[in-house]
Amino acid sequence: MISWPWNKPKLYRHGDLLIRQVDEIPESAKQLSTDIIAHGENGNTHKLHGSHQVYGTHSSQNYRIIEPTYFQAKEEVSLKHQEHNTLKISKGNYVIVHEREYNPFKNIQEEVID
Amino acid sequence: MFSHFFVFPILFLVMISGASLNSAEARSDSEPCSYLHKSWQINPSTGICGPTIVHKSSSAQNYAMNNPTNTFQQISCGEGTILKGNSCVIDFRHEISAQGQTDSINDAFLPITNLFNNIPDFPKIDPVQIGFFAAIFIASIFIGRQFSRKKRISRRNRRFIKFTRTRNSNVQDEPGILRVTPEEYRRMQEFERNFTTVGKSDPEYFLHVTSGAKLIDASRRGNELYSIDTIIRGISLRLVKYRDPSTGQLYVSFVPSHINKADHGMAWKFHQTPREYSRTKGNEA
Repeated sequence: MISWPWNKPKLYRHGDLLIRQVDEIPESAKQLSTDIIAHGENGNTHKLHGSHQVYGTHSSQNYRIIEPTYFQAKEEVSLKHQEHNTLKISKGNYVIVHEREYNPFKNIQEEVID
Repeated sequence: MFSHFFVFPILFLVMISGASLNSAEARSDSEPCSYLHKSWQINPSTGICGPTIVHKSSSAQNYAMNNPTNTFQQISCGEGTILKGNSCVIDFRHEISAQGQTDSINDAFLPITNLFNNIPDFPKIDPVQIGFFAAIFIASIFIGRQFSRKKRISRRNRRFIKFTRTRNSNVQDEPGILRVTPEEYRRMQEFERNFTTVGKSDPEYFLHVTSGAKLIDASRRGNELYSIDTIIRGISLRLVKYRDPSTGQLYVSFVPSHINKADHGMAWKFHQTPREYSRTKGNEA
């Protein structure tokens, strides 16, 4: 099957986050009443501005915690952060992917939080 | 026990007495003064055993006529020798005459061909034996070198390196466990300390001065991949240096050691394929 460029999912990078377009949001994801899709160590946040809906799934580290994993942009939205430029995101469904780094001394992968 | 101390002095005395007896040995009048030159006699004026001067004989006269270098007064050099010039030489004339070479009798007092006639033959050695002993010699040297100290140390080092690599490869499959030597552990601690302090604040200084990292790849998007091989033996630490698109601040981050391209390292960081990472250009903030 040919994957045309205009059919490829859109990709955005905002600091330590990668926003990847997906076809649909899983039904297991739960709606969250928040605008923040990621928190930083210094209290900085990645915050959506515009018409959107954030969805969350259980954290892999703590099942009790539901962390934002998906969001639906009902129109073009803005993603803002205190230290990064504002990023315009077009309409669609997106998954939030966190940046990771490798620890060669422990031979593990860790999530980057800025 | 003490008897040993007496044996050696007694033996020493016996040897001294024997030597003194030999030195005191004397010859009788019927014996020649020299068994090597039996015609020699003791000169009464000097008391030294030496050749005696005799008047020419008929044989000596004939010899002198044939050999003009000789004088009429001949010195008896002893039995079997004649005077040639001023020195006594062995007389081969009778042997040469027996062989029918009387023409050159005067010039052949010392035929070179006869000099080595009486030398006994050296034992003939079989070449096969020589080869056999040479092979044994070479084999002994080879075996000796195999068990030499240097070889043993190198073999032990090879075994250790092989064991270490095997050990590391096993540990790589086991997350969270890395077995290192105390020296490597000390280097790791120092490196981690430098990474958290210098590496976060000044990545350029950390890469080029503190860690001594080696540049492997640089991409058009400004990402650079570095390698550090001096911390843990057998493990290559890979660091990718990248710049935040919004702030322009530099960052360094570890990536797995199998990554050889800077952009591939960045793609790994964001769970992407290299092709996907290339598509994020222009959508970064």
